[in-house]
Amino acid sequence: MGFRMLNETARFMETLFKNVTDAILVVDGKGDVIGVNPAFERMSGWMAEEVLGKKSLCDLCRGMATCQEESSCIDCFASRLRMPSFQIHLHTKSGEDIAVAGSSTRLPEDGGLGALAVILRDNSEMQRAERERHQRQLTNYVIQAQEEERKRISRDLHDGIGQALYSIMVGLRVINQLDLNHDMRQHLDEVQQLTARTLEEVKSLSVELRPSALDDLGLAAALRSYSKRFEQTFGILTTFEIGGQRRRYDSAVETALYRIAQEAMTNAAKYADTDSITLRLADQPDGVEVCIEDHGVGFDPQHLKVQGTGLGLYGMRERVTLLGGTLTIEAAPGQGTKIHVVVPLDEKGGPRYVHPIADRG
Amino acid sequence: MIRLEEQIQEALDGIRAEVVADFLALALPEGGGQIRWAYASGNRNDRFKRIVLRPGKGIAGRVFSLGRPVSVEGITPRAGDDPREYPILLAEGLCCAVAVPVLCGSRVRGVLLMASRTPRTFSSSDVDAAIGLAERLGSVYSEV
Repeated sequence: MGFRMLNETARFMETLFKNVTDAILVVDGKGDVIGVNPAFERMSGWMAEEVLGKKSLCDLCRGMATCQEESSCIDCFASRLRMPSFQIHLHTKSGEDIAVAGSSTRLPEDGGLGALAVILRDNSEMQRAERERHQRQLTNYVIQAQEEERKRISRDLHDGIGQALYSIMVGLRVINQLDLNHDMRQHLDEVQQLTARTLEEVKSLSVELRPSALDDLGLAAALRSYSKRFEQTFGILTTFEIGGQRRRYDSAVETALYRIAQEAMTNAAKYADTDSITLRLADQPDGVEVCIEDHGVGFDPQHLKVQGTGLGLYGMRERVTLLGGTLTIEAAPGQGTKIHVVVPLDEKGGPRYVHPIADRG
Repeated sequence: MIRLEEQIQEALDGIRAEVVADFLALALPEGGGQIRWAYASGNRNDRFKRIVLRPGKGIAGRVFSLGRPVSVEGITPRAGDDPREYPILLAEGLCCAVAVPVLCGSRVRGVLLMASRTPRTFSSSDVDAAIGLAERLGSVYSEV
């Protein structure tokens, strides 16, 4: 009876060893491989007969990842009785070193070092997801920090220096009323003109950094004046169309859509060689759409010959993703370019599917 | 006045033929104080007419505020750069340019731009031709 039980247990253990998803690697007290399961074969590419008795643990393990080092042999898991969680770099048959999570247990044995069972799990997908999440968090932080800084400098320029220049202009006008000789008046005229021009410059610097219209009057007003400035800067005929209801959106949404339109139009000015461009803002009951369309040289989106770092496009996508929206590019050589952004919104004008780490402020 | 406009256009065309440049244009302040490209020779579209120049910004804008010639070579759009620095070059597909001030006394009355669509270094005699025209224009505008 007892024997049968033992036999069944052994069979069960054998099945478990063969079918478990985690890779199992068993090495003896000297460090030579004495057992691997099929999951290990799949993970490493090594067949059992290629490693059993032929390879040692250190042939397969390229070191542990610690917080100080990518891979280290200091404080090796094999020197411990048990180590519940660590990460090693596994040397596969194809010559790659892959990062896998592991746990190790030294099996008890009377009078000597018992076998070491190492259980490995490939969690690179999980790590990739985590890296991406971290990256996104960082991007979001950078975008927000930049926006805050621009807002602050823009306000300082407008309310500080701009206001002071305005006061100077008023003062000069008062002096101009006085009885002055010809030479003096000519000098004064020049100074007045210079002051007026400087004030204009400060104002446009402030608007270019971040238009206060974006906060005070909303996205539609900000885009309208941006279109006008764009046409005057580049000579590209710019049409601004607005559809649906006029309403305010969450400030994160308004800022993102403004920056996306700005980036897309700047790209068009730089690369499209277009005579005209259309900017469309369409409000829908459950979302908002922005579309930027030019009739320039276009490009092949499949074979995007990145003339720069491609960061502009990356930034646009990132901003849309953070708001749970989508960005599509329709372009073909000679057919112009169309960039279409859709952000689903809730009834209050906030993003409906907000990315958990995105700031809704 | 019509006569003057024709003369200026002829002078621009003349210099363009003389130095074999692709594009020549003259920017002047309008009544409202806005500075625009009032004349052009060798243009491929009308975008230049819509451009409003800003003193201090861009090639022509810098000439306006500095009052001295500015030249650029090998300008192509790059990621991260600001296209507002070279709108007229983008509009006309130019890469090399020399811009000289039209002076009335010490005041900058306008900007004369001479540019090429292919890589080129304008020789000193080319630049002298442009400066010569700018001087002539300057004396014309001083009289007006």
